[in-house]
Amino acid sequence: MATAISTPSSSGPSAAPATATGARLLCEALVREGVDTIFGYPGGAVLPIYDELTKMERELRHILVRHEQGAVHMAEGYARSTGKCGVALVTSGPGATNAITGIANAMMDSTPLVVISGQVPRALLGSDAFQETDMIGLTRSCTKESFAVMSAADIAVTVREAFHIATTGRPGPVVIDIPKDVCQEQGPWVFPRTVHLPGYRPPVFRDQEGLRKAAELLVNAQRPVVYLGGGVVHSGAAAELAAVIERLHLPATPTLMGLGAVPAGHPLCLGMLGMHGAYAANKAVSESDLLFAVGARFDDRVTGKLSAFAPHATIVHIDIDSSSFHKNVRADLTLLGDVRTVLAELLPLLPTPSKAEPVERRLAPWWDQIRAWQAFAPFRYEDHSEEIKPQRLCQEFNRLTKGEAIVATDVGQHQMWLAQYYQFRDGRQSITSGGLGTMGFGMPAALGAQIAFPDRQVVAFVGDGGFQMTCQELTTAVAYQTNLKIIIMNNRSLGMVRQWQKLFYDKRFIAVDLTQAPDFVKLAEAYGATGLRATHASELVPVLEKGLATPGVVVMEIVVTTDESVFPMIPAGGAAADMVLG
Amino acid sequence: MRHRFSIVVENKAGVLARILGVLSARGMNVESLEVDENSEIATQHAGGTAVATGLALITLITVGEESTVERVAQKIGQQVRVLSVKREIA
Repeated sequence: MATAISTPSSSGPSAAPATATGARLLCEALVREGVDTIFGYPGGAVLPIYDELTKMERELRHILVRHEQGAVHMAEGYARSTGKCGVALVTSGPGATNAITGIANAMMDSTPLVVISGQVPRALLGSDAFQETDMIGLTRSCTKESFAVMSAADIAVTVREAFHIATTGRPGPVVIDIPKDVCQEQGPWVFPRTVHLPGYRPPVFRDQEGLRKAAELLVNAQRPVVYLGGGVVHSGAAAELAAVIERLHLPATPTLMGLGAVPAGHPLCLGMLGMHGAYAANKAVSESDLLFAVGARFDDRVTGKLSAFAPHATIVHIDIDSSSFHKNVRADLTLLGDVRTVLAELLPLLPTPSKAEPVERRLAPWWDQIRAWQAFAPFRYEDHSEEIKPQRLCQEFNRLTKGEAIVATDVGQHQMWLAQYYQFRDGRQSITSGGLGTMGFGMPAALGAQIAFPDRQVVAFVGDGGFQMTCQELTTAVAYQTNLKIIIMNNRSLGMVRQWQKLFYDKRFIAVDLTQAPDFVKLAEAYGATGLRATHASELVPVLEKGLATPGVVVMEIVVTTDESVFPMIPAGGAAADMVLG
Repeated sequence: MRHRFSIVVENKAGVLARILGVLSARGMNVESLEVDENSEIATQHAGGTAVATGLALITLITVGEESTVERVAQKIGQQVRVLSVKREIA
């Protein structure tokens, strides 16, 4: 019946029934929104929805995960790699609570997500019924909005509103909580063309005066730096950003969330800034006279000590979320709107290059200084003839995949080294847990991306700690016959926590030793995947080459040096001047 | 400093809880609170009667540093069901 439906917003002649069960109305509405994949796990409260899915297998592919956290992370990986809204379906009670880590993760990283949770029947609400939990209350602080649907008649409209909220403005997660009996009762099919949300008005950029000021500041700055974040990826503004920085020869530094939005190999890219960012990027920001922040939110891992962050700079802040303005750092000029629109409108206000005065010349002294910083302290490490250094692993992985893989990570040392050494060319290649810092995110997120792009090289690059938090999803990867590759950077410890204990707690190590671990090769084989291991430096490249080329799901355990710290490092709350080079 | 917030909202279940969550997440307490379905301000916003268009005016008084209160006001304004936020020294 739903095969006649083509576009998400079409409200033309429809095969949708005039009335249907709530479950049917939900599925029809999802198809109308352009959903093709749902990551989920069934249970009592969502049985009516699953029953409808049996009739719509062609339109709505359901991916059966092994834990609800995995479902939400997969939906995030799907959303981050495609730019579409991810969808997860979970049952009430424990299904709902298991989903919350993923929802909070999506909120922090501005990932568009709709999570549908089952609920006990209306008559039982508030009675401590079996598998009852107040999902709306639990997710209030980690969603853009949450809906409790109390009538089948409201389902389709709610879906429409939920997708609109999740995907517009600053994207984020939305929860739709539906009591079981609402899914079973009959309701009319109402799918409005537009939504009515009087309090929700994603900003439309209109500040032409501000734009002229911004152009003037850029043209006159002697030591400008462009600081760009995930907003550039979300708005698809990479081309506009490249045009702006190339027009004026501006140095640009991405945040962790902005990696790839300016390609790593671009001559104007300084590499990541922040706590474990490039020396030159952090020095440039602290010496800059103009900091041009684009779709970034002045996170504490970027700024360190606020009073010492870009202390000489005039700060221009472009963002779609007005609550990001002045939150941590007071900006001198704010431009509210979609960064792609703002950058596109900015470009014509910038001088076109002339042969008489090439743009390179004006900022030459500034670039000389930056090049000197880059030469003084590039990312570096001491290689070892026998042990595999984690940085070497990242370099070889980058080389063998030509910087073209979609890579998802967890949080910690492996994440920082990968950010330093992997040459991302596109923002949608990098899928990492930036804001919440979620161990166990990488593998299911990578699987979500692999399901969206079955023919691309997708790799989960994770630590031994994070991998053990969600490794049950190996089954999911195998069951759907994917080609997912998993690289476990095994340092037999919780590396980043250990690093902090080493540097800031006088080497009093506690609760960071993960030497007691499963045999990851046997574990992979038990799940029906291929397992490979490298322990000696000479084995690194052969194992990576073989693993990346082997069809199907492959787990590559790379045993690396345990006592290795991520440098440079600006201690928490420190300034660029406090940077430790290692 | 005591601040009075006047917040025009869609009059729906859960909206007040979301607003109070913004305050409590920052350790701020509410000294006084009123929800008015028939308020003139809400009525003006709706261009008609507030009740008919489903709006209400929430008035609350809280205590906090200027910078925190400014952030809180921004965060409340960001909520999907909030139409406007006004704050003044109480």
